[in-house]
Amino acid sequence: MSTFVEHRERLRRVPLLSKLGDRDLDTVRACLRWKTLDPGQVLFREREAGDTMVLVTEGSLVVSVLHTDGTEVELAQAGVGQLLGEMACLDPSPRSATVMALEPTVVAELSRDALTAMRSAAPALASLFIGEVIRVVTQRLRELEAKVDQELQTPTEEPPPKAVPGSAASKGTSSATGPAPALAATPRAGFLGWIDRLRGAG
Amino acid sequence: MITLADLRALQPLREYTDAELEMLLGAATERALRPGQVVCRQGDLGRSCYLLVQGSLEVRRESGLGNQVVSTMRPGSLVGQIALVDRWPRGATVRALQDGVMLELTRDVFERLLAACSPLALRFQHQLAITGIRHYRDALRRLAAAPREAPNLDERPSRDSLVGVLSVVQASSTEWGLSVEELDAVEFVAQELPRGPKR
Repeated sequence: MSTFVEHRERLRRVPLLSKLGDRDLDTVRACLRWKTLDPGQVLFREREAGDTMVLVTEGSLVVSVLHTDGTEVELAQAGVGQLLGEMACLDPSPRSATVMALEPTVVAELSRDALTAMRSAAPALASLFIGEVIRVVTQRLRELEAKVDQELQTPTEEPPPKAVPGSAASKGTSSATGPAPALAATPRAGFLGWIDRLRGAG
Repeated sequence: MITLADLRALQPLREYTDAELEMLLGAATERALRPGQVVCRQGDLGRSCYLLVQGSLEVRRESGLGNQVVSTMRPGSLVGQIALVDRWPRGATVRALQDGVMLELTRDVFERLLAACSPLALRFQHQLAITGIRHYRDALRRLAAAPREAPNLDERPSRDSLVGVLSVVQASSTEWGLSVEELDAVEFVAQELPRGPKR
């Protein structure tokens, strides 16, 4: 099989492009550059410049960010069909995360210039890629929000009530009989929690 | 009434042609904003998204990090589009901070713009993608800055933090005519105390 057809078939395995005919696939193929990565090889490094996004066509990669305390936080793993690097490609800015291959991996790279050219030459295909970016970024935002909720939820503290002044009766103020000790099993939330701790301290 | 000139003045729309802005204006409905007005509420289902034309909006999110102001939106910003993209409930509550005006795009109009590949649709899609990317970057920054450990609730608050809290509480309870017990239902967000209580 020629590389030409091989590349077309590789692209067809990506769900985003699976419904395209040969002509559209060839148009997309002409805009892309292929990249092969060894396990442990870094595709993007956080804070470095870059204007390409990639579609993973073989293998898998890990996405991580450096926390301010110096530890590496794994955000996600990406496999065949997934889009990576789309943020710096569309909205010029340094890479927001480090992406490293976990195994032998092949990606198809689309540069900002190639996407701009695609917008005027093949708007339907450009719309396909931009639409995918919108979906991917929305999904990642939701996942990140869920991760924040999950990791930072303090087990002993209920989320603060959404009450407004006047609806105090809905909350468990009845459990608060007199000043609670500073090391109460279930510290009270909100203002009374502060008061408890003040009393415990005094 | 929102005119073409109003939209022309918005920096995020600078790449739209006049004809495209006219089309956008024709497909949208004008909505006036009053200070404190809720544009959308976290947890609700999304029926529309909005383009802020005048005024400013505050975006607040209730999460594991507490009740945080996630961002403040200026004219030209798209608001509420995320719930239209993935049909999940609203991820944040948006309130007007001052008088203003915005354009409402219903789900129907939004989905037509998302599915088309006209120059207007492509420009709108590009703007949507950039907006989503910037939201995600903000969320990443908040996560990177967040404490890795949950705060220790047994730790005694510092004298300074208590003085700040108590002076605000004193002022607010007088203003609202509230007892100490009623104040338990009021949400306190530590970072905001120096600027006074939010309602």
